[in-house]
Amino acid sequence: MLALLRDGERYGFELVKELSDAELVTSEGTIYPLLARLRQDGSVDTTWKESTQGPPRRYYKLTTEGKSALEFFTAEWKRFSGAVNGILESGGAR
Amino acid sequence: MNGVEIANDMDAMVNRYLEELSTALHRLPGSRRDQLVDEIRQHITLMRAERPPVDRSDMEALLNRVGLPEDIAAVAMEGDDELAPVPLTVPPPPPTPPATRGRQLSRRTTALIAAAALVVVVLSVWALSRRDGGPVFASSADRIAFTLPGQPLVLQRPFVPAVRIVVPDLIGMSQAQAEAADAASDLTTDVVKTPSSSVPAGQVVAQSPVAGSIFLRPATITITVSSGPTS
Repeated sequence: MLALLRDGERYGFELVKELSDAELVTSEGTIYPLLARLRQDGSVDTTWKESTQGPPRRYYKLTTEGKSALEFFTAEWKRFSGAVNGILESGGAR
Repeated sequence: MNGVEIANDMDAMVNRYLEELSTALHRLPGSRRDQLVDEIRQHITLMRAERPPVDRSDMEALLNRVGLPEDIAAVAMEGDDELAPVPLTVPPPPPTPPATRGRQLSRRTTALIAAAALVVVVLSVWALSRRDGGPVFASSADRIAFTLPGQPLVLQRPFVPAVRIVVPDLIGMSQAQAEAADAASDLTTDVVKTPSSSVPAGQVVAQSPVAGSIFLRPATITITVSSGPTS
């Protein structure tokens, strides 16, 4: 979720669409409570913006804490997935 | 039904869904609950604008994509100790003095209350129907629908996904067994071969997604099958 916000602010519907298209989420509505929790943690900040059609939209963007959390997770994920890939590849060849 | 009636009917479905959601979220503080319900309402509006549902079942499918109100509530209350999830099958009880609460309803009590609520609904529909004509009654595994003559009134459990597929544990099966198990669960199988000296050829060594994963629509499971030792 934080990674989707790396390149700038987006609104909830866009975020959900992207996760849904990537088949990372089956119940789209569950993303909103997650976003609310990230806001409580202080990882994201929200602003209201007028939209050209329909009511104003709530935009989400990373805070400084959110950015450092994202950097931490990215490094951890690379380390973890690298380790698993290593085992998968060497495990079969033995 | 004409276009306006269909649109009104769909609005009613959305409102009922949002009411169910609000009920499921009754343990959240009011401001958080209202905000979440508002966001989901807006999400549904945007989904409808993007691809307008043409009929009732289309609208139901849309709401199923948004998800079960209980599931959304469970995520909203996760990690919040004072909001430990309580299974909720009936509208929230009237507030009781704090001293006597604090214990979760047992599964059995909840089931009894749900059964009692269902009996009340059935009886009221029956009582209403005695006044003019009879109700049309339809029941299937996941829904109960009553349609009264005149003003159509349909009471149902609308938000049970049409499919809820639990991925079986395929590891250790032969490729044919795994494919059969997937097919039995409405899943299709993609096969990837990998050399292995420890697992006999033809046996499943890994699967993705893992056993126990839940899909709301037919999906594909990738299995990794041993092709035996390389040499």
